[in-house]
Amino acid sequence: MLIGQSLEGVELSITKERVINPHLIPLKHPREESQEEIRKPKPALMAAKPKLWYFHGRGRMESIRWLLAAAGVEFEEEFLETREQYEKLQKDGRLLFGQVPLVEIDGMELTQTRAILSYLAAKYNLHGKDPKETVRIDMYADGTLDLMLMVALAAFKPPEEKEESLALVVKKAKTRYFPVFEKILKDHGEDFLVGNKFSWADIQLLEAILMVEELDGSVLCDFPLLKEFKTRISNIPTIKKFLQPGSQRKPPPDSHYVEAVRNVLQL
Amino acid sequence: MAGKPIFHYLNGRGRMECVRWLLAAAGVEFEEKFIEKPEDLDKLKNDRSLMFQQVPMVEIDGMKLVQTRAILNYMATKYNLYGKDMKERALIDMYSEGVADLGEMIMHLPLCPPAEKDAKLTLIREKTTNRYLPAFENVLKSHGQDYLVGNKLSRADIHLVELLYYVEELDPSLLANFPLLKQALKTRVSNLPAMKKFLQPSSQRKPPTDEKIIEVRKVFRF
Repeated sequence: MLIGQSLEGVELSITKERVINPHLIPLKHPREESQEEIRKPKPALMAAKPKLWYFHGRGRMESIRWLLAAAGVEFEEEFLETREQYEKLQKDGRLLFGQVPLVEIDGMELTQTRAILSYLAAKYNLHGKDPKETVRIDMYADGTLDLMLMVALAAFKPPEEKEESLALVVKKAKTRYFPVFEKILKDHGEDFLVGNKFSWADIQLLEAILMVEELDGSVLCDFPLLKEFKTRISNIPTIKKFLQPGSQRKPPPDSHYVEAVRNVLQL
Repeated sequence: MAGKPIFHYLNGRGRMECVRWLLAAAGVEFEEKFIEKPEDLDKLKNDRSLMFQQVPMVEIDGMKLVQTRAILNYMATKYNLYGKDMKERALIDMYSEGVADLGEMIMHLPLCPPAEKDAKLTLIREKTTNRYLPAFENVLKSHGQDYLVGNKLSRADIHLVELLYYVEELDPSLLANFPLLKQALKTRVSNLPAMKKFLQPSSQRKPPTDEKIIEVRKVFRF
């Protein structure tokens, strides 16, 4: 008999079949626990820090690190360095679709980058005050996330294709994305993109600006309001801290990172 | 403004189809304006209707929404298909994203150069059988309920059932070992009155992508 815990953490329902529903059960499989242990308060149910499982680099996890850092939330990281670690996560049934990022938070094992980001944005009040604000944040965040994922994927391409991809990122930033955000800021004259309040959209935009600037330092030269925005958001205390050396922010992908990922995922 | 939502897209599945399914399942009527010539797309761009110069675009509640996920999130909230709390929403999102990942692979198959098609198809079969369908079958098995999350119909069920139809179109045998998906969920959702209507011919549901659509998409560089 396996004891499954509901999402609320309040009811215990006993399922007849030995089925593992990994993203709903606490960190330790119940069958491993003695009766005594079951009575003890479980770390997963107490206010534990979120735990991030990923490679030691940006990839798809970086936007999640930014969001947590900006929200002032401390988090732990486990880095995937060996194939064995990855296989163990899979075997333990912790990766719903066999993929990372994985974030352990509030008794859940969440995968899928956007699902994680959405949950965190809502949890830390960075997702707007009503559905109309939320949808604007989603539109802006989705756009910038697409751009940043292009950069993440470019690292894995052969040198010529990689250069082409990165050039395209800069072009899209300059012609498709940054003009839109410059206009949004110009039209309402406020400090933040949505609802005159700091949100996930602002965090994503700053992250995207910095990432594209790493590719082309002059990219903001036609966007004065974005320049001011960049300074303003960078000076928010939690973000300022995250931008300092020694934080959990990760460097741009290099060949060492690409090799490590290829090794773990056997690509 | 109590007008019907208006969908701006090609007369084909692409990135808009999942939005059509969602609204159909919610029993909400919508209008469609099809982009058939380059001038149609230019007009939308010149009208400043497309935030990032891209479609899908949906006019709803006085807004012009772009970005498929933003559109789906808004509608799922509006039509109560997004769970009862944040944690249910997180599960719904996780499942929906998984469906979207496989759906994206299947959607791009017709646009694949012929030399790469076989390899792509093999990959899709492999992911369907070993990664995605087992995950969802397992979810249903683990709680024994009728729907994926919270014992209630949500967008996750609608997206998944739509995907199951596409998998079936590709190769019905891929569904063979997944009774809870094939017999239970797919049948249950298909029989909901609003869904039943949408699954009939001459609804707003779009047929599989054919050569004509591929040519149109090439013109627009979608």
